[in-house]
Amino acid sequence: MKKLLKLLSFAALAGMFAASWMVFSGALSRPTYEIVALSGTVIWFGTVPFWMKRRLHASE
Amino acid sequence: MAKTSHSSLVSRLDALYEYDREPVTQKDLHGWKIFWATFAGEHIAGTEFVIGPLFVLHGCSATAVLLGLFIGNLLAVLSWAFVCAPVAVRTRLTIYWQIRRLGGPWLTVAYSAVYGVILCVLAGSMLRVSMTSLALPLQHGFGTADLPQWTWALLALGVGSVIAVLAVLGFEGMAIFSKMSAPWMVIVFFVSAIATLPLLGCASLSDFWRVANEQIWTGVTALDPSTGKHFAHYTIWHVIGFAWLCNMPQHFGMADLTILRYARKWQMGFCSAAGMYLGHYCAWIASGILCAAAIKQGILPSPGPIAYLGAGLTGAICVVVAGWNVASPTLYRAGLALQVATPNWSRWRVTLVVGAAMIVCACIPALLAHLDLLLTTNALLLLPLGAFIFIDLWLFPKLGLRSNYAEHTRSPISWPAGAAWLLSMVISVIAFSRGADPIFLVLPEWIVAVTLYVAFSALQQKLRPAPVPAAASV
Repeated sequence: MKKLLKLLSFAALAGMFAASWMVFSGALSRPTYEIVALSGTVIWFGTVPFWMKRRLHASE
Repeated sequence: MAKTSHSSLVSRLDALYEYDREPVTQKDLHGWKIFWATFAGEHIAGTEFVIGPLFVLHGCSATAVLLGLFIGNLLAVLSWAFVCAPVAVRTRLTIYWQIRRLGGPWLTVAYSAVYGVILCVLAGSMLRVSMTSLALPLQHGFGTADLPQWTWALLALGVGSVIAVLAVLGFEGMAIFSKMSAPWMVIVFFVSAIATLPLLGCASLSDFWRVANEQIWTGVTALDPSTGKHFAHYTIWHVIGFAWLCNMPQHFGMADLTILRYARKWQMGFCSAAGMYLGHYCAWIASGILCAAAIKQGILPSPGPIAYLGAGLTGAICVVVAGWNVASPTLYRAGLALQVATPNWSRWRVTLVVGAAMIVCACIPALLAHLDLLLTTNALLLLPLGAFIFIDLWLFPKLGLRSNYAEHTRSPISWPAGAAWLLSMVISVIAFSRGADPIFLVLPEWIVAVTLYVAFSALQQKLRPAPVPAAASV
């Protein structure tokens, strides 16, 4: 389950990245890109707490 | 009476850092992975939305930015690897205890006070970054980007209060949230810049260099709204110098001893490349692109509006998150540093008072427009102490001088360290008042501080040699 959520998290980021390239190449409109980016954000923050370790870094 | 209050002050400061008093043990050391992640996460923050645009506003050329940032960040990485990390793995102590050993307890009090004030102002600038995004609905409501000052004050009060309360109640929660949001923030910077390039007339990768020179880093300085004059022109040397000194307190200033003392090897200082090249190269370039596009569209080039232009609501959220992620822990650390100066106040009370100071700082509009000056001042203030640590550890034994002299003689303060710190800063202030660019004062200040410290220490140890050591010095 954790692996699936992790995959979903990174797929969301990849989707955001792909959408921006499509805007750059003229294949996607800016409003659609903004919706994809917002969806990617929601998916990232919705999935990442379930798999990312809550242990803080060395200094903290 | 005075002596009692002095010793009480020092013992309270020692108690605050008691947990970190002993060198890190072998079992607590970390490998490469955690340092890559730590550096990558720490150097992508709200300030990246401000610094990238500054190079556009200061009229840098494309070559100056792309090459200058590459060289400046390389110098920063080398400074972490060859200056800070070797000291960290040799001593395994925090900067606080390292200064305590060479400079005595009173120097740590002075360091904590200066550091606390700096952190307070930096937290204020982070709050201001977040406010530029949260002001977007108000700007739509008022129908103008030029909001009245009272709305900024109200925003600062509202948002700053939340950040202060979070710093008191949930510092750990904020730190975990910061860790979780770091990869997403990197992507938002990238995608915003990529999607914004067509607004500047860049239709393909082969167009980029032309657009970079003609539309983004044009070499023309912008008008500073806070002074009504044009920003000073920045050359490649300014860019190199700024990229290097931006984190000077962390590497040359040795503040990152606190992190790198957990490193298995000094070579882990090279992990700083993750933070430098993702945060201070890619993110600064990305925000520069956003700034140029905003100017072309007639939008105010401040963090909130440029991020909104780049990625819509996602960009606006990113600015708020980037500001809060840093403001809250910065405020917590400022409270910790300044707690010593209060009459036994509890942590929450100190943090709330520091939070009030942060809110006042956030009401200053020029804070973001002159963030480069603020960071340079920060470097100039804290750099000498890092220089003393470096010299005390590596050069003193070669010169036949005793390292950690204050500890061996139980001195309350090392006058060579105090005098060299003060004098080197006074010389920098004089040079600045005579028109010297503060970016180019950092290296001369390091040299002056080191020269004075070595000369004063040699004089001190000649007049009053330290007692025969009971144990080997680290």
